[in-house]
Amino acid sequence: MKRTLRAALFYVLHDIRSAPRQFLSGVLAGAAVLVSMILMLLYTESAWRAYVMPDTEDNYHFSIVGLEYAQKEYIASQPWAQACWDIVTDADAPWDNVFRVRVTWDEVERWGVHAKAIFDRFGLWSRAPYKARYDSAFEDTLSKLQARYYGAASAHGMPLTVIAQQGAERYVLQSMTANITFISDTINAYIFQPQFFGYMTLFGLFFASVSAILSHEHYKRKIAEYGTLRSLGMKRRDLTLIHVLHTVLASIASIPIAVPLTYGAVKGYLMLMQPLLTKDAVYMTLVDTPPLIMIVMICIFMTCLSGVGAFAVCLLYRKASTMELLRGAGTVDVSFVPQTSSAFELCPSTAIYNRLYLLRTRKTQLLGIAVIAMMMPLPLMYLESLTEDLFSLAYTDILVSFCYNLFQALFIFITALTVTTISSFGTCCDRHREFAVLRTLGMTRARLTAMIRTQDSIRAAVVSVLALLLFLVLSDTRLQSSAVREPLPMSSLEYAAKSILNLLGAMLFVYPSVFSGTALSMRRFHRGSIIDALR
Amino acid sequence: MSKAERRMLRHKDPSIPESDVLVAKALCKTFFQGDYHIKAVDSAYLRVKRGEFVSIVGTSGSGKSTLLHTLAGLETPTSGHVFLDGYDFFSLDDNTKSEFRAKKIGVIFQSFHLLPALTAKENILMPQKIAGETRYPSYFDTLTRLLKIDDRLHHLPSELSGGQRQRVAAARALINKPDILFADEPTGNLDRDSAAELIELLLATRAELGQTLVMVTHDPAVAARADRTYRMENGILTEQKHTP
Repeated sequence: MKRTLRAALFYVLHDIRSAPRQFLSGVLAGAAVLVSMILMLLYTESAWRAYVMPDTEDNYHFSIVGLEYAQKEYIASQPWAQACWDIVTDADAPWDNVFRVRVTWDEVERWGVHAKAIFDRFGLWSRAPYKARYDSAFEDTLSKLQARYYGAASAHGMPLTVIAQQGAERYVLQSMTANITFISDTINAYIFQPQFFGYMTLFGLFFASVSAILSHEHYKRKIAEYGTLRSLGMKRRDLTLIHVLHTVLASIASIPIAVPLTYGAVKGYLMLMQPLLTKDAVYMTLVDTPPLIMIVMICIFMTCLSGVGAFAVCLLYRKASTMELLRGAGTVDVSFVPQTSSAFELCPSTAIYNRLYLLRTRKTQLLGIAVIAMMMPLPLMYLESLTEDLFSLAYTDILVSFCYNLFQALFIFITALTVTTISSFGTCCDRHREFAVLRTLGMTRARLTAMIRTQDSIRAAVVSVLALLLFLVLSDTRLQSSAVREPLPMSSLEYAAKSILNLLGAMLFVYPSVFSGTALSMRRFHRGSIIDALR
Repeated sequence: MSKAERRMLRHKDPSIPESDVLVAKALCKTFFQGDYHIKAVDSAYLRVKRGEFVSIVGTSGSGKSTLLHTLAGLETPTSGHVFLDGYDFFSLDDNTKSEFRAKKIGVIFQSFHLLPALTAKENILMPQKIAGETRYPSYFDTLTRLLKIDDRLHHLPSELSGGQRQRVAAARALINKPDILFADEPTGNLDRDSAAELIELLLATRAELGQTLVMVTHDPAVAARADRTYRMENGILTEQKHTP
């Protein structure tokens, strides 16, 4: 076994030395997937972390004024209340009898729900000091809603008064009860929530699928070489070892690129955002320093998953004979073709070639489309936050949130673009021989490029739809449990505008992803000679 | 005379007679790989008359295929000129070169190079789509019948044998009745009878249409049927005298 491993390692290292660019592109794609994975987990985990506070008087989630003893006892007896205490206020403080509450680890996202329940139970909305603020917020919200909905009595099946009531409640909770001044340097040491491992597995499987598809593309490129090795007597398991080793090495090599990038991204936007955060005293779900143990766990997990993905690809081909592997070079997976297309004879132009090619190679196309679609939900999630902020900017000043989401969206888009560009570049390069044949038959450069662009446009349209669907499914599983965060319902016009904006944003992300790799590949093709491409 | 035609005339060498359809002057092709220079074609001179059958013979690795690809306009020479129909081919723009390839030149490759997503019939008809015209609608049936591939027209290249693919490639090269046909070992994958039939077809087409045929071959019997034979050795091209 040791000797086999050594031999396989020797072969893989030699292969990497002889084609360093190919290996590097695999490493970059792996790094991009790893960065996306880490940032996604940091984002979900940070939501808990930022709210987690040590046991000091200044760290609490919400405070309520004017409670009676029995009411305080009731709150303290609740399972979600970690600690409660009375605050002795100064003589010139606006309120006395302030009761502070800190919720447990598991309930940090739901403090707003519990605060609202307390208010509802004890009828605090109509009691001082909340009544005045509540009434004013209610009137203000109602008049805005009436203006927005052109004097209608209801919207989305709910009376405007009810919507205004909910808005006023949120406003009171946010402005009069929530603790918005965290002391960041007292944030506790990182504690893993149980949900973290669940999310790591879920996201890991998601990104591992991307990695497996890229591994499959790599296998197809090497298939003739593997066939030759088999014809020379190499066993299947040795071949599997070579392929898995290649993928795992690329995965390991991507870690020193991905980890500094992630740290850089987090530190970068903290540095950018800190002055704004301090100025506005807005609490944001930011991670101060990503804990190293978490990064190490994710890197090991993803490396193992990439190895498993590569192994799964080898399993796909376990029944292929040596000749099938040898013949696999330069062929495409063509779906069942019953007859020559009658449209082919009737159609005078080469546009028919596009149609036939896309239809007949749809299996291969689907894999390429899947890679791009699967890298898009994360940028789209930040885009959705951006569009929500855009609409909310009209009513509240949340420029900070907008900048935060914009930074994240751009950064995560660049990592997604890396994967999709590498994938589409490789797929297009695999077709260079086909392009060269078309050139020998007299197709001009311009026509060939136009043909590829048409194919890409069709792929981009399909990817946009798939990516949006994936995003909608994934975003439904996000935690949205805090009553304070729930946005006001939108009018049909606003909803339509938001959907169009999201779709345009998706296309803005998807189109470069589809076209960039192909454009680079076609440039490379046109620079070389036709015969070089045929070889 | 249109603007395009006037522009084309700038690339025509008036010293080349109309009867010479293919002329190569001081043609060189060198491959650079790091510190190594491989001179595949070394200062080749060649003149082919309209309707002639010229064969190029030589040992493996002598540069015959490289020469053929350069003459067919598929490989850019390191230096020298190739004149097709009197036009300096490599000084033309891409659109004009493509038009030459679509309408005047046919190439049969040693490795077939069929389009994998198209059936045999579609592969054969593809040059017509690219040329934008169906010039000879009934020629398809004649060709496929003569090449004995009419029962395999609806199969993908991956489902054909080497010989069948070779014949499909030949049919594709011939479908537009090109003025010049370049063939790189077209009988390499065929049995003796099929090879003879293909050669007969190529010669018959040549005779019927006045086509010019330039062929790289290992087969001395095929080379013997050529009007003239060139020998390629270590990149140097010399004309061989025919011995009856």
